Amino acid sequence: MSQVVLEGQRIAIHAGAQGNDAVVGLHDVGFKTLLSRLGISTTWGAGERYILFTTPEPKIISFALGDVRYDAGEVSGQAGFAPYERGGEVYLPFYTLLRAVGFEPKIDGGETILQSQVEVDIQSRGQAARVLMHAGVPLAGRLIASSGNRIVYQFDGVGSTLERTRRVHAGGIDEIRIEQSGSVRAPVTRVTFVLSDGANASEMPSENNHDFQLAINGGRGRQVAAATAAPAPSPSPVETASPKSVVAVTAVDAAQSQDGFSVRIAVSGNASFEWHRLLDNRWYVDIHGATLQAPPRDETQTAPSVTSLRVHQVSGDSVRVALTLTGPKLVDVNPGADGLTLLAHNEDDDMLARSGSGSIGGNAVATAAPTSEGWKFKPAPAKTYVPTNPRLIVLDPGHGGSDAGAQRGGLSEKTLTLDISQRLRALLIVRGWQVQLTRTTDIDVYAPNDSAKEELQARVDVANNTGARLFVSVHVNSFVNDAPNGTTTYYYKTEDRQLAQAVHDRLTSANLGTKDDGIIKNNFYVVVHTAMPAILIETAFLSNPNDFALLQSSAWLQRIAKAIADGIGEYAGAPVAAGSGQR
Amino acid sequence: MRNSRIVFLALLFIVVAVAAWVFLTARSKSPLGDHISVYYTKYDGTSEVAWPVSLRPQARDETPGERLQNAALYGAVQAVAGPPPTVEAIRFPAGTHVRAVRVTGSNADVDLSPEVKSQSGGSLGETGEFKGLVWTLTGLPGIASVSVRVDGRRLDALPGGHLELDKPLRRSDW
Ligand SMILES: [Zn+2]
Repeated sequence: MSQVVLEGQRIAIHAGAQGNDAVVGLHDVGFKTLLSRLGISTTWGAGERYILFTTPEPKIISFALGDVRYDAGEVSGQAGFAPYERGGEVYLPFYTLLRAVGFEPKIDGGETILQSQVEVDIQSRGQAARVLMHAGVPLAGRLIASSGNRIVYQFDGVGSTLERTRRVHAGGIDEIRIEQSGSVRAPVTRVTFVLSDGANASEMPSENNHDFQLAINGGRGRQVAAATAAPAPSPSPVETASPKSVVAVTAVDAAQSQDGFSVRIAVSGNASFEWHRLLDNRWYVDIHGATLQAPPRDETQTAPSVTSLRVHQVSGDSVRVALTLTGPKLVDVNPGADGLTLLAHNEDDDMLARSGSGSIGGNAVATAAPTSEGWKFKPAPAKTYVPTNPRLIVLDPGHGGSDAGAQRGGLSEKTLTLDISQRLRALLIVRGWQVQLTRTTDIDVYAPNDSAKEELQARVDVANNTGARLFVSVHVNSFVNDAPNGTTTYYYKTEDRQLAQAVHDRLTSANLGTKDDGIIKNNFYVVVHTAMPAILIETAFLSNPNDFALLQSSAWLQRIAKAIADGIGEYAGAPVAAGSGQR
Repeated sequence: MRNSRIVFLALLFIVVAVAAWVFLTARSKSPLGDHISVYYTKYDGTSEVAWPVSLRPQARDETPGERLQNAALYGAVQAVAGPPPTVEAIRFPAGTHVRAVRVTGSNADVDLSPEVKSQSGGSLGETGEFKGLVWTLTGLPGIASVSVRVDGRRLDALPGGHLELDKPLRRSDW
């Protein structure tokens, strides 16, 4: 039993010495208390090989039974010993874990003091930089000196195993000096920033009290560079893969799975790619600046979705992988760190993008041309849905009753969605439609404090049971910060896209003052389960200042209601009496 | 005569041993390499950015099935934790973590901690979180869909939520 001291508080942990590390049981009560104080969650189950820890930062520390290697964020290292299992308990290298989460164990007076170590990360962009400092305990920086181009911050209660001097010469910072003083139990770390001529520093607000941020604005021009003050080499780091300078396609493997025909293209290095779909169901992707180091291929395939596969070098600096599809098949393009995976689905799709692009390697990304610019390969499937009440439109004011939805400054989503829906109902009734709302007051549609699914299904039932012509769900979005903003129209069923397009066109041409966030397919319950054409409109963001101001204006609520009504009219024409048939 | 029989048996033994070695090594090699791609969703709610994460080497006694299971667990933990704090990305609510992942056939069943229910109200976060998780796991060879639990129990939809979560999620859901 040893006494471990964290921020002056003692925790009794069963930890014994093992080599130059210490051993601790995963289920030790004291150890679990320590993890919970540090906000670290554990993922391990009986029979599992991996033992994973997630810090609030977030940083993931990965151990595996029988393996001395551990991973901490992007760094790999050698633990004091390989974790092992005995009698149902997992034993871990305690000191290795502590260091990985930013604490240095220091023995003092028979106790193990957990000294939080400050991390410094510098991100420079042109002549500016952001310095992010982080510790496992609350981190408060005090400016204790500022003269000429030197500024000094003091951090109480944290130590540092970082290099004493770090030459940066980027983003307005010439050098950073780090000195630790104080005692084992009350360490003090001073960080001196030597700025470039004319550069200045300002403190930035941090999202949590474990971070401290400085913004540096550089004076004179310096070469763009990025630097990271890495912890001094604690247990021998394992070399991680270094980026290769030559881009090469090293292997192409094809296989049929239950979802479709997949092609795995292994690419070393960072590369951009571009894919195209031709009208005759040929499809190809070019990987730019790459050399084909795998054998070229030209072969017939008998997959449900693909009849041929070709792999060859084109125009000296691109590798082309070409498929002949059996019809209008969706091809998923998934770039990753080490290549590109294609999946040609077995089923036909009727709206397909004709081109797309992206990058492979670090920060792989893929974008496709919006489907609205795609080619229609066949007419939309014959509508099987026939409304029994073709004059009826069901409107669904999102949330209600015990579920307020998003909220901000006295405004709540449930009130706004009902307000817009009632305005929309009035407009539609004037135009000859019958309108039913899933709720007309501030109530839960199913029952107070019902389950989320019961609530959503109850809204779907209103539409399905009445055999309505259309279903429109009205929502107001929100996010954890104020950046995202705008109006989005969502649909799920392919045949509902036309309704989404018609309404969204009106929303974006109505000068609403919100950003056009597009038409997006999404797995929203109410548009998945409704039998009739259905859309869900996220009108604006309560969390964004511009959108919030608009949502407070009744004139704006009326404008958006009118835009939706116009879009419905555009799609459905004038209401028709029951029995006279649908488009 | 006896000598040629010994030679024949020795040759036969070598052939069988080589065949067995080829068969066993071919069978135990996992298609997973030394990296997996963890996807996160940007603030537009639709763009997925791949974040490469190194996967520890396959252990000698780790079957391809177990390796897929381990990679799925690692990928899910990474996706739920989100990329480093300086990266702009849609993240799961603070404290949300993976309790377990079970791969059955081509489905990965992910058990999340209850913090996931404390959504801040809008559909953007909900969408971005689950899209990133689904893209990460379905990016592993052999996994086509993802089902979700909270505290071991099947989840239909999040409280006050929008997404359909009571069926396995696929990339084609977005
Ligand atoms: Zn909503």
